[in-house]
Amino acid sequence: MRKIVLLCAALFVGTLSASAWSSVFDKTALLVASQNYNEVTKELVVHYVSGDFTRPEGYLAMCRNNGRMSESKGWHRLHLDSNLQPAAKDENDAYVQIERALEVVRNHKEHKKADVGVAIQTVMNLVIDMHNIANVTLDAHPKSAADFQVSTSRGSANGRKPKIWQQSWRDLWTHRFATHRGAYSPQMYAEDLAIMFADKRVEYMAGTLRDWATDIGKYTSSVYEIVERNDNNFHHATVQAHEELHMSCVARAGLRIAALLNENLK
Amino acid sequence: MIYAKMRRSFVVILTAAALFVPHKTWAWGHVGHTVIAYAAEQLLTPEAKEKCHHYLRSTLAYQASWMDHYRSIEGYTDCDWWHSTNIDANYKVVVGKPTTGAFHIERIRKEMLNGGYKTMPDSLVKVNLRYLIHMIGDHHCPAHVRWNKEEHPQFHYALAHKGKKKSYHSFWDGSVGYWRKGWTAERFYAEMMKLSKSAAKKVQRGDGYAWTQETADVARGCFRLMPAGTEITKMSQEERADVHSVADRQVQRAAYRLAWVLNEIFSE
Repeated sequence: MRKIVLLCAALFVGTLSASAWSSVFDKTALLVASQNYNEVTKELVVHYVSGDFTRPEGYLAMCRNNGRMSESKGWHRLHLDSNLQPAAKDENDAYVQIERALEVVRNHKEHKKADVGVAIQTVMNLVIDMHNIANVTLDAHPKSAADFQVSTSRGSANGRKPKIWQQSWRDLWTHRFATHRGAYSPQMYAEDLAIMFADKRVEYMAGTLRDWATDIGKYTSSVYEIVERNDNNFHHATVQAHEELHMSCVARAGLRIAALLNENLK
Repeated sequence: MIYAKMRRSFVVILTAAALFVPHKTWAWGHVGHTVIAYAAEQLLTPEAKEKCHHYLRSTLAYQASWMDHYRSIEGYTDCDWWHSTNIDANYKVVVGKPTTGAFHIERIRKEMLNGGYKTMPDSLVKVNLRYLIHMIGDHHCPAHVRWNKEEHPQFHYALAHKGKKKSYHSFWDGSVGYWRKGWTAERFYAEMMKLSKSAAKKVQRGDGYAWTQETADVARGCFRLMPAGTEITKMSQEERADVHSVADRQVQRAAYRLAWVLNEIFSE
């Protein structure tokens, strides 16, 4: 019995750690994508995947939990060299796997329907994952987001006791922004993103997968520099001030999924 | 024997779950404010909605808790007092005191009305909107009226949660979502009783002071509903329903009034 319990606990933890971003942001990015699909893409996504555009959320992790695609465990990572160019040393890299899946998407008429479905959902999952700085490793920064322990505090105005949170930057980025807005749904986030980044839509969708990897490297570097400059200690306001960057990553991910599928799914 | 083992197993699983599930606070804070702002946005005129989006660069809901995050930041610490308003020894709202929220609800309203917002820099309109969205919400929460401890000692006590002290304030802050975990603002709004035009008209009048006075009267009823030491986990379904009834009515009033204030400010 104890073995079963431990196995259950391990599976539970495994499921969570495999989820690169909070579910609400995965769904939000997929909603943003669906709002930017052209008519052909919409029709083909429905044909190959489903009519619920947010269903592929956590697809690869779900496959692994069902004993399939175990090789995909390390695909969510993005490795960039000192020039912020993709520099994967092995198969465990989002950039490599997205390129591979796009080959299938581009030639979808030549593949089995199920394989195209897997490829589309792989693109969706990994484009989201690579936009989460928690999954990015930079040659210029030996540490990753999981290594940065940050202490954030809310000051003690007017005699109020200060509140202090201790967590890794990865947890902060991946979960805290999702939990501090009670009652918020992916639809509500998507509506906000449409307003917040209306003037950035074209800019975010332009370019190639390689350009986007560099773009992600730039904002990841900027976050790491801020972490180091502040000696890993932040005021709550500094964290709040980064929420817009965090939201822009979700918007970029969604818009770029749409750009890739609109371009390749013809 | 086997049941005892199974029970232990469930304890282990639940402990593991508690350790790894992202933590949620007890907040009305965020849930209540998001629901009020979301509901208010559904009641805006198209013109007011467009103006709000223009100045805020987001929905109202996105800005609903901004004041909570910035209350201890240099430059905003004075606003730390604006989340509630004092009630005097005769149970009347204190008028004209700059360290109260009701004072600033009225100040900002007056400054922005009749096209006043057009004379302000966009950044000031934005921050004023953030204040109104949050303060109108706060001033409908039964825990956001300040009772002087010497004049009203009977209102200073704690509740209990699983035998441990639970602050009365934090319970009411969280009352909207306390027993409705996982509800989204859309669901709250869908299940919220909508007011008829005439009922809305009745709610949508008065000012920050009148609304705070009404909240103070509601708060006195809340003290009767939950006396000192009330064990929250042992409240009956009927008692929970009473809490929801008060919380929901206050949220609804706040939403209708916030929408009214913004529609008025942005009407041509």
